[in-house]
Amino acid sequence: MSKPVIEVNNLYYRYPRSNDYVLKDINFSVEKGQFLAITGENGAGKTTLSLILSGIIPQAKGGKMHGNVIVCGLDTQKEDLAVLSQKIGIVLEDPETQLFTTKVFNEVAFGAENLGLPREEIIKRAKWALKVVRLEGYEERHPTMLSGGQKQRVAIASALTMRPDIMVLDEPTSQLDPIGTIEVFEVVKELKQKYGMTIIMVTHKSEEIAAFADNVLVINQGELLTFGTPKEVFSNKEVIKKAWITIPQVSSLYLDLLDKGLQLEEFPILPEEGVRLVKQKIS
Amino acid sequence: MEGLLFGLVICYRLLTLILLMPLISMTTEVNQMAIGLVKLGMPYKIAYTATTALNMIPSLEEQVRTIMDAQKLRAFTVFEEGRIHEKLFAYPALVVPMVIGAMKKSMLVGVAMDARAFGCKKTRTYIDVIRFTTKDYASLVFLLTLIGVLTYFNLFC
Ligand SMILES: Nc1ncnc2c1ncn2[C@@H]1O[C@H](COP(=O)(O)OP(=O)(O)OP(=O)(O)O)[C@@H](O)[C@H]1O
Ligand SMILES: [Mg+2]
Repeated sequence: MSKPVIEVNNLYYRYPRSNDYVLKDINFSVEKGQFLAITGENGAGKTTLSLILSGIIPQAKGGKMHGNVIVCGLDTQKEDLAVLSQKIGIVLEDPETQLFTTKVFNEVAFGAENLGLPREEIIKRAKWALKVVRLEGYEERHPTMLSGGQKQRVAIASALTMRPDIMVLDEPTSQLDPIGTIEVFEVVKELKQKYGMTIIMVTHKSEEIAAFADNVLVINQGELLTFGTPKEVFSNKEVIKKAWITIPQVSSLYLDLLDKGLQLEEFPILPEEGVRLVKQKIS
Repeated sequence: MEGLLFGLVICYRLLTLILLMPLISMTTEVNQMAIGLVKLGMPYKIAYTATTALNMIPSLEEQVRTIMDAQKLRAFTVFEEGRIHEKLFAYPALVVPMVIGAMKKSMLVGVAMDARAFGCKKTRTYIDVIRFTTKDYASLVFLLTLIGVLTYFNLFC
C-alpha cells in the first residue's frame, strides 16, 4: 500500500459568524489513484468538506478549523493556493457560477493564466484539457450556450489545466440528464484509468458509486458515519437508514427476495452480480 | 422653472448612462476590456472583478424575469394591471430576492475563481493579445473630435 495522498486528521470546522460546527471529528485518508465517493443527506457537510480538501476553506472563506488536512504532503491551511491548486482541482456544485468568462477556451485557460505560466504552455495545456473532456471544436463557444453535461466538462477541463493529481467533484451530475451524466462519468473514468488521477466525488447516485467507487465515505450531520467499500456500506442496514441512502436497485431486489424467503449467496451491488447470483440460485 | 429643467437634464443624463451600459457589454468582449484596463495600468484583480460583475448583468435580468414569472404563477398581476402606487410597493419584492441572489452568486463566482488560483501571483499571463490598431486610433480621433465639438457648442453657443 502506498502513502496516502490525502490525510484528514481530527477535522472540525465552523463557518464565520456561526456557532455550530458543521464538520466534527472527521478522520480518513485516500490513497493515490483511488476513487472515493462522498455521500450523505442535504446539509450534511459534503460541499464544506470538498472546499476544505482544496484549501479554499479556510484560506479564502475564513471560519474556524481544527485538526489538519494534508494533501500530497502539503498542509492545506498554510500552503499557497497557487501551489495547492496544482495538486488538487475542484469542480463545484453549480455549473452556472463556476463558468464566468465569455469563451470556452478562455475559461479553460483562466487558471493557468493566474499561475503566470508562459503563453504557449497555457495554450498547450488548454488544448490538451479540452481534448481529455472531448470538447475539441467548442473553443470559441460562450460557456452559457452549452448543455449541462458540456458545462460540467468545461469545468473539469478548467481544473485540468492546472495539472492536478487529485480531482474533487461536488455533485457533478446532480443537475444532468442521463446522457449528460454518462458523458461526465466517461471523462472521470478516463482521468482515473488513463491519467492515474485520484478522484473524490460527492454524489447521491448509488448505482454509480457501486460501479466506480473504491470506497465510500458517509457523512451524517457533520460526522463521519462510516467509511468502507460500496458493498460494506450498502449492506449496512443501520447506516442506510440513518443517512437516508438509496441503495442500488439490485441491492433492494436482494432484500425483497430475502423477505420472500430466497437468500442469494452474497449481497449484490452491480446488475451483473445480481444476474450471476440469481442464475447460480436457480440452476 | 430653471430648477425643473436642471432636474430633467440630470435625469436624462442618468438615463443615457443606464441605457448605454448594455451596449458596452454587448459590443465589447468582457475579457478584452479587462486586458485593456490592465494595460492602462489598473491592477488585474480590480479589472477582473469589475468586468466579471459586468458579465453578470444579463443573468440578473434573467433572474428578475424568473421572479416575475413565479409571482404571476401565484396570481400576482400588479406589474401588468396594477396602479402606479401599487407597482411602486411591489418593487421591493422583486429587488430584494434579486440583490440576495446576486450576492450569493458573486460569492460562488468568487469561490470558483479562488479554486483556480485567481490573485495568487502578482502578475498573470494573458493568452489573448490586444493591440491598438488603425481602427482604434481612428475611433479615438473621432471621439475626441466629437467631444471637442460638443464642448465648444456647450460653452460658446
Ligand atoms: N457560508 C456558510 N455560512 C454558514 N453556514 C453554512 C455556509 N455554507 C453552508 N453552511 C451550513 O453548513 C452545513 C453543511 O453545508 P454543506 O453545503 O456542506 O452541505 P452539503 O452536504 O453539501 O449539502 P447539499 O447536499 O445540499 O449540497 C449546512 O448546515 C449549511 O447550512
Ligand atoms: Mg453540497
